[in-house]
Amino acid sequence: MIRDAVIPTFSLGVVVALGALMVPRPADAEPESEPKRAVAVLEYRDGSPALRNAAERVAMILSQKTSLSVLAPKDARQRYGGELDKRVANCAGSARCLRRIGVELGVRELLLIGVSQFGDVILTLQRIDIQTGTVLVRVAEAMASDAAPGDEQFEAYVRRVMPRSDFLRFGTIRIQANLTGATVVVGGQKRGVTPINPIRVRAPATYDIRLDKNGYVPFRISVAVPPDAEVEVKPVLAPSGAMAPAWYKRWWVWAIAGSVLAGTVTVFAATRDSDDKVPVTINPF
Amino acid sequence: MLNTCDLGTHVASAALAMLCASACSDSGAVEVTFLFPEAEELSPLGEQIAEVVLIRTAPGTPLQRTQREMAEIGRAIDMGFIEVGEDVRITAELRSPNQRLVGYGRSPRTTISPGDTLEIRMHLRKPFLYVTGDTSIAAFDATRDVGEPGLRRSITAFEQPAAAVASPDGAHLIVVARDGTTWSLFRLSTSDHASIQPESFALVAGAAELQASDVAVSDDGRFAVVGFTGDAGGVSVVDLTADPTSSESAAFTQLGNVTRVNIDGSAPAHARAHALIDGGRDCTDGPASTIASVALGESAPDQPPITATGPVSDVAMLPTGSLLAALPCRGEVVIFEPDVAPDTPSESLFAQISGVSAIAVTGDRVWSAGTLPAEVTEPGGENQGARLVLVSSDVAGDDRISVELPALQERARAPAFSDPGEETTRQIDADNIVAYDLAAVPGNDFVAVLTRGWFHASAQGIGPVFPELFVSNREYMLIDTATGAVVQRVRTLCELTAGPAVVGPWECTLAPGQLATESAYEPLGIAALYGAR
Repeated sequence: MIRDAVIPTFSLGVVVALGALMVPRPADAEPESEPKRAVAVLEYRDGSPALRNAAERVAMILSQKTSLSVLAPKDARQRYGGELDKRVANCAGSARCLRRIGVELGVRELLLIGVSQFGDVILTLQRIDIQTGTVLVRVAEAMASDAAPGDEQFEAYVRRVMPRSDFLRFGTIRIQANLTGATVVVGGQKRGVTPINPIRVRAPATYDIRLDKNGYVPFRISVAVPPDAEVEVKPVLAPSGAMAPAWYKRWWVWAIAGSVLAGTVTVFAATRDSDDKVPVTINPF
Repeated sequence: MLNTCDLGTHVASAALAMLCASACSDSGAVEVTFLFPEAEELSPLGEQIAEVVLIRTAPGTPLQRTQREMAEIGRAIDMGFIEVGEDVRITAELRSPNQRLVGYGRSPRTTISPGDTLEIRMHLRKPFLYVTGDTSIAAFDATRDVGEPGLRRSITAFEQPAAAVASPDGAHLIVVARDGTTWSLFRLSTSDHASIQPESFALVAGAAELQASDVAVSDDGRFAVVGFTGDAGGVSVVDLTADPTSSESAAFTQLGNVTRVNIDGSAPAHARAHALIDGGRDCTDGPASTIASVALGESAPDQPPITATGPVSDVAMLPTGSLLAALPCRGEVVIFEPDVAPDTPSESLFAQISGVSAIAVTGDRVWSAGTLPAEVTEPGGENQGARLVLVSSDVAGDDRISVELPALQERARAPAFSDPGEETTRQIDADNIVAYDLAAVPGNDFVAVLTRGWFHASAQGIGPVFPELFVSNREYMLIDTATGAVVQRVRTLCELTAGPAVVGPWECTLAPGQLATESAYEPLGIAALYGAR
């Protein structure tokens, strides 16, 4: 695992790593959610060239703003084959007919984006439950033929058809301290004492974490938690009477970011904990 | 990002990292300079760059990966700190907002010392794939999907380019092509796909009757090895650091029908080339293959040839110096340990993969392409054509990931009866499909294959109305390794034979997402810039 590569051994300090989250982990801060609900976004238009890439834009908004597993039109075509658009067109918006496509795509719901033109452009969004073959929500919006709604406007449409709970995203903070019995406070809320279970929190967000124990220097850190990722914090609490090291050795400098790729959070970190590291920069290009 | 900077407490902070980059750098620094292509259409700078990633690797130490959001072109980027060490290699990735690799570079191995200020220059290139076998080289841009402009370019500088491989520093494409009556090795700039270094290496005198089959380059960029097929075939070893006009720059060794070459460069002084002789996939009449060794390094010991128990279709080197071989008839990838004593069993199983036909090792991953046979049921049931399967594992054979590609079909069309303007189309499943070459794109996001497929459809209707159809094709495909989706599919050859029927004549047409070249040809090999095969 890459995680191993970025957690060197320390005598003092903090290790923060963004770990892989291949399997949902237990959490005590938020209720466990179901596995990600899979939603396919498909497009059906009656020949109107208006609102190009409407479905792709909706899929991107869903991917970025919700906790759903989103199958974009392009990906759906690859999974289903070249007949997808024809099959969708033949269904002519019938939920029972579209249900069969959803089953073959292996999703729980379809979000059908329809573009029609009768003078004005009519944009419709239908959320279809695959299990029952019924339309859960249907919204329609008329706009001028040359209208070009922005991403904010599309997001507003999407929020009208998808449940609010879909727009909540979570990450996990895993705290592994060097001692037991330290009080853990995350985002101003007391969460327990070490050893402590992974803490599930809203994401993306930045949380202040504090660990306190009598006789030890309090530990404080601020961590950014990306959605669907796990941030691992390994605090080392030093005895309050211990000799303080030189200032530059007390600073354990980490830079953290990550990206989710095929279900894995990529780890990276940079630190200067001794003279065996040198700064690296990329020259302007 | 971490953003709290609270002096006096243990606070991790990216902002602080940036402060310390200047305040704490009393013991050396590393500056990375990217060298971009001169041709704008080949440059990653023409793409939307959202993220820059640096990866440090060195023998015996963990991989270190650092990434930053790309805020603004034209400003230096602080990448934190990097561990000092020997034999350090730094690779750079530029990724788009949807995480697609749009630029890649790799430094030579170097030593980073605490007190030194070191500038590392690397060629940043888009992930290109090069297919040889026509009168030009087809360059495929892996950042493009079918339908997007710039997916395919032709490099027309060579007469019959037969094989190509990218130089380890990414600056050149090393091309083996006919040069009049002989074969020569050329170095083409990847910066513009046009400039060729003026001196070429003449490979073997009087080799007009030979056919170049493959080329490999050593990890340090010093040696290139070219394979030739035919009874009088063998390998040419080229010292790329020598004067090309010198007769000592290339040496030919006759070995027989060499179909694949590879270089073990794990220890430069012991470097040697491996030549696959009589490689193939014919499980009925194919000869057993042999793997011969040719010394490159000054201290490379003699090594007896390895004789396999059947046809070997491909070979690749593991970083440890062990040799991987694909045995399609046994459906196995095996490891040959070349250095064991002659009486010692030198073969061990690495992986079982149905119909394995091509393998490649890229960094710490091994890629294999195999074939899942067609599933034919009773009449009236559902048939499924043959499918490709891609298998990836680490170099120990663990962490195995298998991706089955969807069944690929060919399409044939004919005029429908006498109605003008109407036509009928038949989708034809593959009886068999073989990936005969494979190249992994850096980053392991994509794998490219060259395939040969055999397709068949039965006659239908009384008459018959539709004839029995046979199609043989050759294709290039770029496959998304995460999903198995074919993101680029280009057919270079389609040969169709139709029996007698009411409806006809029949011709090949395109399946959705498939492109075709203007002229028909059989691709010979594929190379990935900064990739592996």
